[in-house]
Amino acid sequence: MHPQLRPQDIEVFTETICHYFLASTGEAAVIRSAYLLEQGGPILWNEFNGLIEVSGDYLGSICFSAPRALLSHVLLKSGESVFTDERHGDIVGEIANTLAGRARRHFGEGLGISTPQLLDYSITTFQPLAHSLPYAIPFLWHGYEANLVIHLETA
Amino acid sequence: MTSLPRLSFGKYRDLVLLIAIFIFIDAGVSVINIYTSHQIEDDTSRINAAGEMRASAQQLTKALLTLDMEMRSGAITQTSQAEISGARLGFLDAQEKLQKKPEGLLKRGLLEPEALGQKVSEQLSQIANTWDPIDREVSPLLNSETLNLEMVSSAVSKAVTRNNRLTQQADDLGLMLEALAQYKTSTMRTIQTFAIILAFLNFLFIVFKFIARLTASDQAAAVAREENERIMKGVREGLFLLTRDRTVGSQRSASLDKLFGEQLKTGENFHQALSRICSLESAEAAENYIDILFNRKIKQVLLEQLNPLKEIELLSGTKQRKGSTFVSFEFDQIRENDEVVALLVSVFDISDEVRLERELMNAESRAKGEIDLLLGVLDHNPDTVAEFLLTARRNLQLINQELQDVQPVGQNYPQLVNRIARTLHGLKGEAGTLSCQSICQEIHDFEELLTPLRGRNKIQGDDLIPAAVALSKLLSEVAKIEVIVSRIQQHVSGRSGDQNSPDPLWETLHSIEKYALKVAEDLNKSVRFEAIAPRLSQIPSSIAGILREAVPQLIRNAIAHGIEPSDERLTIGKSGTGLIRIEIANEADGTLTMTIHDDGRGISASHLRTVLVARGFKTPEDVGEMSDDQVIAMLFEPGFSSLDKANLHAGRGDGLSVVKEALREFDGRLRITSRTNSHTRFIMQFKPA
Amino acid sequence: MTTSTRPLNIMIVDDSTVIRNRISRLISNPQLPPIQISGLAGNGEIALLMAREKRPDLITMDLTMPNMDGEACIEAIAQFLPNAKILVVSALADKATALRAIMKGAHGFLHKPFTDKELIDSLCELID
Repeated sequence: MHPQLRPQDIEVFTETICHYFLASTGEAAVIRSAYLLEQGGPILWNEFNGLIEVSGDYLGSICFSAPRALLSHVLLKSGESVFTDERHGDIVGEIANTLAGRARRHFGEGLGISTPQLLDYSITTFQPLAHSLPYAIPFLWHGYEANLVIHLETA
Repeated sequence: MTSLPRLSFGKYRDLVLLIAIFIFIDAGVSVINIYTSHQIEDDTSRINAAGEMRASAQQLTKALLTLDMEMRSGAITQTSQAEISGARLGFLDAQEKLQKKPEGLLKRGLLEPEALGQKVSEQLSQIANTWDPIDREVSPLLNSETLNLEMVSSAVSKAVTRNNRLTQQADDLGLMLEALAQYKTSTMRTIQTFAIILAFLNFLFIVFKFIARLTASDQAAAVAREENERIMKGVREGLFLLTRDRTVGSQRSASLDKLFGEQLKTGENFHQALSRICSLESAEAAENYIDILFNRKIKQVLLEQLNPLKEIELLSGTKQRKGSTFVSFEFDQIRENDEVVALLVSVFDISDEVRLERELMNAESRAKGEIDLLLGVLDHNPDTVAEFLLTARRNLQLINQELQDVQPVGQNYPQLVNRIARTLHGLKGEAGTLSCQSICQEIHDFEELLTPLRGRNKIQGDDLIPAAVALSKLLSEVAKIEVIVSRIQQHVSGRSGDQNSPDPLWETLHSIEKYALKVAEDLNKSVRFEAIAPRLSQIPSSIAGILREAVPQLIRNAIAHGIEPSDERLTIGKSGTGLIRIEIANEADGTLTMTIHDDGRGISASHLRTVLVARGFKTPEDVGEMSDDQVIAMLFEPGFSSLDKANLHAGRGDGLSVVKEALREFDGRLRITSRTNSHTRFIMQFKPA
Repeated sequence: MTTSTRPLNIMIVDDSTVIRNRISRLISNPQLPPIQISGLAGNGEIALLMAREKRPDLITMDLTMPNMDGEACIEAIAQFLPNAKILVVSALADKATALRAIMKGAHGFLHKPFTDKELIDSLCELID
């Protein structure tokens, strides 16, 4: 087992998200530099958050968070004309689902993954893990910023 | 199903045609034979008829003579009359037989020459001419009532006079017919011979053509087999056909044997083989997957994403070489008449790719002997270490903040990378002086991953993911040592409160000495360390800062670039051990001077010019126009190093730019003096605040 | 199969409205034969009812859905619509589950997320 997350473990998720945007909208998302979320700071800023909790070989969570405007634009790109909360949530849910699928493939079957939860409010705190800080990876797409927060460590 | 026979007939059409001709010729020969035998029969009967004609004529003459005799003697005449009648009928019968010929002749026109036929007819009419008068005389004799001697005598005289001629003519006819028969027989024989020769030629033709064709197709098959073998030998993938009943086909590539050896034999059940060579789980999944692929309604392109035999590890015992083997199986459906009749299976050895990945993983998680790395910290004043750790944490947090705030436009990312590199380099020096080896190592790894990014104009956000990971690791390393140091601090403060605190300057210098010796040891150089400093109750902040941030860089530089290896020093008449000296002096006006001196090879402006050009920092024209001072000032530019390869202590080119930064921060001035093969001196001056 | 001029009927089963709409839009692509939508379902239960009612020729089917998952749904539909072509469209990375779904009667698998082209190509293969 890997004592800590390796860059490629994180890249698995960033690639998944880039691929998601490219596949569903034809336009790639651009990753901004990743950083660490210091304890106590504000955590997630956006209206729509898709959260997957991870258990088993790894502990923690993966969260994709996006502002409404970005999701509206994605809906527009995929030919939608209805912009309800439900539709916005659909996208975040799809992305979270995709992340979960990819996580299982990357980390193996020993990974327990919860069904993605859709939280339509800002998360203010993370359950702190013993040895590491969460990674925040901002994505730029069409001038909007979405965020991926990866908070995992070996059990 | 119906197309198959038609196909093969088409292929053998020529042959069938030839055999048909052969049979036809044979049949022709048989027909000719039958015909000939009929002819011979016919001719024989005709020759016989001619003989009969002759005999009848003779018999008639004889009977007439007898009748004549009987009439004269008044004897009973019935017997003679009957004989005459018999002979006459015999003659007429034979004549009729012979005259019937013309109809038959028509049919045999081809075989019977006109001339001979003509002659036979002429002969027959001559015979008729000779015969008719006789017949005319004889016919009335047959009626007993009107019979008289006169009539008999007349008939006898007619018959006797004509008998010789008639006999002769009948003989001639017989000879003619014989000649004709002979002629015909020889003609027939010629035709027969010709037909048989034809049939034989045809047979030979068939044989040769057939053999030639068989040989050609054998050769083609041999060529195809050879090509097939070559392909199977040369192809890098393991290839084989998987039949509907899940057995391994006989055509297989050589690579397959290399991969599986005896584990995957021709004719063997694939699932059984699979359960031996890979995990039960994969084998079971593969069984389902293969079952699905044999379903004609399923298309393999729609299922590629589900292939369970991608990147599987072979169980030990199957491998032919060291280390584990990873393979990927790919399946292609082979369809005939819309049924999947077989799967073409390609096996790729992807061990190297997988191994490379594993090695990288191992390299990262290798045991670092963390305890050893931590022990060094105990040699230093825990307060100093704690102070360093705090600075380090603060700096790392600043880096994190910058990562968070940086806008991905223009040269922001490259500039950020340079700033991070500089900060790290400063921290590395400090960590080194305080023997925080684990931190040093993390920083070194961090720098290592930044190196390829430096000098790149285009850096993207995902390029910096490893930086965030390295930052996380570095922070957790700092946290680890913080825990240890705080324990030590508790212990120390608990034991002694008001002990004479040692001179802080001397303590720092002592740390620097240790660091210098460690660097020298790592670089395989021999140095001794001297320090000249006044006793100070308190270290001025400028000196403390410079000692912490700049001096380690200068010392590292002096040892890495200045001090020569011992043997080189000895050949130019120097002591084998190099000298590093720090002098701190307190001027009367309050100015502090710190000098770092080494007795190494000195800074050579001409060498630096070469390096600048070689590294592409400057063109030869540029360096030509620069003064020696300007050239030496280049040492302080970020990213410049005159060493070729980075090691823990030098070569990344950030050291002197860190010095420059520190001097700017503490408002110091720098002077450099140097003489080739003698010494280098960095003299830093700080005005009192 | 596509002998008549009658357009093919498709049923789209996915709990995400966005995905359902996206697939709905893509089936009018000129590369595909005429297809008309006979039903959209957000979970397996509704899908099953709808399949009985509309008897679609083609079905795209998500696997992880509320109420009745795709696997059970495929199994049930295959019972009474043996000629319907079913394409599993799922983010599921667990190959064994996907394979089970195929064995229960689906004909193909497409991984989410997918590009327009990937979906159209898969449908082409499915219909062809």
